[in-house]
Amino acid sequence: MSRQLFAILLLSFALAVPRATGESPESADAALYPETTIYYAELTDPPALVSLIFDHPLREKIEQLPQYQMATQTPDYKRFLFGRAMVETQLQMSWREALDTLLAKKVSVAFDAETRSAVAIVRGKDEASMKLFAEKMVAFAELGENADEIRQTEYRGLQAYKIQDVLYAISDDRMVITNKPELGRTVIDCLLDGGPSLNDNERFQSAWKTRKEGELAWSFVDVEAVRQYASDPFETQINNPVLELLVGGIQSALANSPYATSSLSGDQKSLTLNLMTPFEADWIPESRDYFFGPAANGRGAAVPEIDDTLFSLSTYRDFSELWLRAGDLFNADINDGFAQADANLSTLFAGRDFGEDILGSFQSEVVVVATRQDFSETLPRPTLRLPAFAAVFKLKEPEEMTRELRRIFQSLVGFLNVIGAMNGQNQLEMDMDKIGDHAELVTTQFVPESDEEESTEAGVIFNFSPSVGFSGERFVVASTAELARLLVEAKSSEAASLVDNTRGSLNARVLQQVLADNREQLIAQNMLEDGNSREEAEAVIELVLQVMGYFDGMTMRLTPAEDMLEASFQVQVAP
Amino acid sequence: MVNGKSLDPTWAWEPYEPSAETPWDTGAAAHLMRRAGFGATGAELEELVQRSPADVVTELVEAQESDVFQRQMRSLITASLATGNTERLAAQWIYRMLNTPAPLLEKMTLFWHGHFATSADKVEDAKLMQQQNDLLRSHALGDFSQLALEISRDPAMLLYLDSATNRKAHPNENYAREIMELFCLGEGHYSETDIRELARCFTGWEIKREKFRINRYQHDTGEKSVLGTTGKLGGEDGVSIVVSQDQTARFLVTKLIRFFVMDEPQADDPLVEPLAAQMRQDEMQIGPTVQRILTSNLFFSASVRGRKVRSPVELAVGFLRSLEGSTDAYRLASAVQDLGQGLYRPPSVKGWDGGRTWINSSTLLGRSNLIRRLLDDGKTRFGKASLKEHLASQGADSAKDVGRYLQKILFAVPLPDSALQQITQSKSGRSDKQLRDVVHLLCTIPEFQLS
Repeated sequence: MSRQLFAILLLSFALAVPRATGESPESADAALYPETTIYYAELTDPPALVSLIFDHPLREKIEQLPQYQMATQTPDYKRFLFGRAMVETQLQMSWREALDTLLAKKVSVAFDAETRSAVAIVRGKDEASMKLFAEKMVAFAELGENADEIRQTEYRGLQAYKIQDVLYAISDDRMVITNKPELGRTVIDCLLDGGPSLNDNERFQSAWKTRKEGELAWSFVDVEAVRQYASDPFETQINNPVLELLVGGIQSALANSPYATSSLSGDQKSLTLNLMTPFEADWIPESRDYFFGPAANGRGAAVPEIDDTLFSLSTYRDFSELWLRAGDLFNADINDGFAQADANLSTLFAGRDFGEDILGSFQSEVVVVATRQDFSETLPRPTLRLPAFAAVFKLKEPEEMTRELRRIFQSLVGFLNVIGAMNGQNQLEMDMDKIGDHAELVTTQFVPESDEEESTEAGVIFNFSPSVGFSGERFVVASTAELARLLVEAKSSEAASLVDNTRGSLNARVLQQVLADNREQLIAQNMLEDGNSREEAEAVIELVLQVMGYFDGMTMRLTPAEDMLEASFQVQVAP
Repeated sequence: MVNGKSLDPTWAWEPYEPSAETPWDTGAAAHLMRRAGFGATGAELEELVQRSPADVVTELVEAQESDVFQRQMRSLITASLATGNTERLAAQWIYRMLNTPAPLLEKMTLFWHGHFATSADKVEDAKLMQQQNDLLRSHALGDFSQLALEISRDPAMLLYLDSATNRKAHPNENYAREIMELFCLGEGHYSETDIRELARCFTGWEIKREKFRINRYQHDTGEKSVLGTTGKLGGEDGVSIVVSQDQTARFLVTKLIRFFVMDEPQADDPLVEPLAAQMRQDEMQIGPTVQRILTSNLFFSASVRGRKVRSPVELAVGFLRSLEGSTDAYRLASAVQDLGQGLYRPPSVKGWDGGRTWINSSTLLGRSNLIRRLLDDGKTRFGKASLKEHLASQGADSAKDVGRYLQKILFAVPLPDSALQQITQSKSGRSDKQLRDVVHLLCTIPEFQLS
């Protein structure tokens, strides 16, 4: 993986970690961390988060599952219970009470670039409780294999402990934990004397103002400092066309953005992670106009509404521009691949230039849809039952391109049949269908051998009946004729989604059905991969299916606003 | 000849009667289960010695997979074939070997896979490969004549031997040569003329769209002469003539003795002939022949214990079965392939050479690493528990006890006291990690390579 992509992923992960009220002009904990802090995260109200997790109705549902009950009978779980009971006895409180006491007020963590070390401050109920935890941590460490690596020391009147590479000290209701003594000393000095801190960082101050009410956790990354310390990881090429399509524009934004923040909010119905960074359309170089569109105004298209949609993705990406600007975006090796693909595809598309004429005939708004296939009335029925999927494009010149694309598809089917015949594979049979005056379909289906017509264990190819459909400016390329038909006839969803550059959603109920359709496959996979017996594998897969039923779905959005780029991921829990 | 002494064939094939010198004890039972299967657990060995060796062998020969087990395996095969991936097939076979209630049946299926060697690398069709595997299993202890006939019409075999077409104008000699040289007679027991004539018998035999068919217009209906039999012979006649040769039983018995009794030296004619004669008398039934070998004086004699080198599959599956182990079958299938025994991928039409060829400096290190990976793999469980818990359930919770227990279930020859002492003294802890170290160290000593 390239360095800059790694940096983006690392940044996303770092941001994904941590309630701020938005009332305080500056962070109390940030006042304790050095100015050179490049990552800061906090849980302002940890008991609320603990309560959300442990008191969530889902927990009760999961605990009632027979598979969960079985798991509580395993030796591993019994060992865990024994260990927990030991901790409770030592602390003289229940484990939940212990969590609420230890995390009573606030938790924050930071990474300091200068010392390349991490520090956390946990604010518990009171000083006595924190001292009790500190002493018990030592007592438990003494029972372990590295008892001889426990040290006790004192710094400015505070008792400090070192267990292997971890140092911690108690000051009032705070426990300061670090992996390097110099950073620990800096934090304690700040705590006792005050002084320059992260709160003095202008970028942190700007970020702090973006917090919203009701957030459970919040974090900040000093992107400008990351660029300095890591020799600007957001500047170089990604050199992977798929990743370029997914994160190319984001990389350009991060190459200029001063900071990035994340926040976690949620209730019993959903959990949302928001990632934000300042954004200006001018920061996106011309070579990446394909990503956000001119002046970053590109928006995804409305999604055609059909039943049993498993997954939909609506995005703005000018594929033609990406293809033609490959020389600016990728290295020589990748461009050699593009050149070769361009030659082959131009041949396949009857001499039309693939980048200019074919991709160029589509508008930049694209929708990808996947649906569950129902094979209950279909034969031959494949063993592995895959969802159907399709891409929906808008044609720039529908009248001209409908004819052209129909002919190209027919040629392609003929080509596939020749290749298939050479390899002894099933042939595609083609059909054409008019739907009223406005739409038409060119469908295919694989012709089964005479002895597999009634098969219920047919090959994977019987998941496919590649088809295209035309309806005005809508052009559909689908893996099945059924989906192509549904999509050319479907109404588009409300234009509410049109504020997003990219918007994706996953329906957990349909996913559960798709997985249930492939239950036998999943059981077999589990048996082979985990060495489980059939009964054990069935229990694991049943658990996965049950837990999947507790969720409604997931959505993700990428939205460039006037001055901020926002990405959000939301998981919805079933009522 | 064994250990420089000539063997008395009469004594060799007489049924084994336990004696003070060669008792029917857990060592003998472990020897039987290693050779006729993939090892046995300590508890299984204790149970086996309560019965007579003859009864145990009869049970092994007659054992069948239960309907439930067959349904489970069919489900694994169907899932594996859904993607057409032969690596999945190898994993399901490993799973079958680890869990089968009929270990001899599976061992013989492995034997025939090496005998009628066909590789997925060339056939490139998972369905056909599994079809052949099912065929081998269904006849593994049955009628060799039938097996030979069906393998002669098996699509995977004919594709592998470039014999998918065979026209009368240009008879394809490949299969004719291999059935005589490698499958039934061995070199020197046929002539080039026999090959050409037998190839004519097979004309018109074709594989079309993955199925066998006879193209009657391409069959040479003329008179042929194969191994002294003349007439308007067809393919079935050709196979029947080859299988009915006296040499066929000798050839097969020689291979079976090598597979079950000893890698070296190769059994000589006087030793082979009594069993071959019996096999002919039994109309080429494989099960009775195998049963005679496994109940013989020779099989249980001290002179042949540890006279075989474990194949990678025997090493890995045997290790796990003996310790009630389960693991990631994909990784295990890949690991045994790296050690030279890719299931569904024998190296050539001759199958695996076996014996000493399994061992070289590279594979010896690889075998040790394989055991270490199995022990450290989070997916490996022993009796559904950790190694420490499993060993404790067997009364082995110290390094010394583990040494003794492994000696009983895993080793074909006594461990040198010095090695056992050195290992158990250097690793005296009782944690799971320390016990894994002990097991690994024990499995790195040369004696562990012997079956």
